[in-house]
Amino acid sequence: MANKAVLPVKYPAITSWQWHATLFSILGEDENAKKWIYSNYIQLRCYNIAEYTTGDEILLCDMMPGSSSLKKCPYLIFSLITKPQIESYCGDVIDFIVKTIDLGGYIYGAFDEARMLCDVSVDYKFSHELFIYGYNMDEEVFYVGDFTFKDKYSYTTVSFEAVKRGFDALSAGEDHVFRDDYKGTRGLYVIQKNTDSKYYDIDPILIKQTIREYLNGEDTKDHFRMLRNRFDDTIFGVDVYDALLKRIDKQLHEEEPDFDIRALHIAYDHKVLMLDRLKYLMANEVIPFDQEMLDDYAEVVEDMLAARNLLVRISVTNEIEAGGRLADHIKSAREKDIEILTKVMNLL
Amino acid sequence: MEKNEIKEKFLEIIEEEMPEIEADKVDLEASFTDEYGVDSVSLIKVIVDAEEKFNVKFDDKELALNKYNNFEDVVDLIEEKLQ
Repeated sequence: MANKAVLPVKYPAITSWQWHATLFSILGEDENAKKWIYSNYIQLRCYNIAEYTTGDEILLCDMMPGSSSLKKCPYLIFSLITKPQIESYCGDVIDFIVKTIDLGGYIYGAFDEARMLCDVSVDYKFSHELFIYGYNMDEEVFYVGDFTFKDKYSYTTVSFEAVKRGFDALSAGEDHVFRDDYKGTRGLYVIQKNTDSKYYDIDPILIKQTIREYLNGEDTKDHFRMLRNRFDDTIFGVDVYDALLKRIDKQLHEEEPDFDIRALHIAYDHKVLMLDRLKYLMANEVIPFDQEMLDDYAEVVEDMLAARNLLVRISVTNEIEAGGRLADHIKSAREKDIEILTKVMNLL
Repeated sequence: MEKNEIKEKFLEIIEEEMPEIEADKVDLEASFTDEYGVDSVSLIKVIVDAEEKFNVKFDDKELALNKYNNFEDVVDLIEEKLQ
C-alpha cells in the first residue's frame, strides 16, 4: 500500500450531472473513447420528476445515454460491490476504497454529503454521488470530484473520516444510485478504464439516425424497450426547447420564483458537446470542414449560455420581466440548432 | 472616469461580493478562476453591482465567465462602456 495514489483525471468538459462529470473526468481525453463519446450524447430528453432530496417537482433534462452511461460505455469496466461484500472483504469502507484505488479502480456511489460536511447530527440527509480517484495516507484524505464541497464541480480532498461517515449514514433504501436498479441494496461501484483496445469506432450511421430523431423529437428510448419501458412522459430532441420555455415561465411566475438552472445548464452542455462533436467530425473527415458552420453553431452555444446566465442574473436581481429576453435566447438557439443540424444530417 | 478610479471602485465591489478575497491584495491580472475561485454566479453578482456603481449595462452575452480571463478584463469593459 503506497502512501499516496492518485488515478488520472482531467477536468470534464461536461459537468451537468455527476455521472457525466465522472465519465468525462476518466475518459474525456482518451482518443479511443472519443469515438464512443461523439457517437453518443446526441439525443436530449426531459421529463418532470419529484426531486429525491426535496420532493419538489423539477424538469429533469439529460443527454442520452444518461446515468447509465457509466455502465454502458465500452471503454469502462463497471462493477457493483454491495456493502456486505465490502465489509466481508475489507471490514471497512476506507480500506476497501484504498485497495480499489491501488488496483486502478475509481469509486462511484451515494454518500450522505450532509453528514460529510458536518460531523454533528443533522436532521436531514443529502444523498449524492461521490467520485473518488485517489488517497493520501499521510494526510488521511481521499481525492474526490463533486459539486457539493466548493459549490461547483471541483476536484478536492475530503477526510477518510468524513467519507466513512457519509457512507455509513445511508441505508439500502436511501441509496438512490442503487435503489432504482438494484432494490434493497447498498453499495458502491468500482470503475476501471478499458481503453487499451479499440472497442468502438466513430459511427456516422448512428450519429445521422440520432440527429434525425433529435430534430423530429422522436422517442429514442423506443430502441431499448427490451431493457426499460416504464416511462412514457418523456420529451425528446428539439421539443426540449419548448419544455424549457414552459418550465422557466412557470418557475418565474410562481409565488416564490424558483431559479433552478439545472435543466438550462444541461441544455447548454449539450450544445457545447455538439460543437465539439462537429469539430471532431470535421477533423476526422467524417463531414467536410466548414468554418462558417462552426461559427454559426458557436452562436447556439452562446445563446444557451446567455439564457442560463440570465436566469442566474434574475435570481440575483429579481427582474422577472427579463424572462422575455431569456425566452428569446432559447428560441434563437432552437432555430439555429435545427438549421445547422439539418445540414449536418444531410452531410452524413 | 480615470481607469485607476474604476479599479478602486471595482475593488470595493469585490470586497463586498467576495469577502473571502483580500481586496487590497487582489492581482487584477491573475486568472480569476484559478487564483480566486470565481465562478459564473460570483461573476454575475459582481457585474450586477458594477452596473449599479458605474451606471453601465452589460448585455446578456457579457455575463459569460469565458469572456474574461481576469478582473482586469472586466474593468477594461467597464472603461469601454463609460467612454
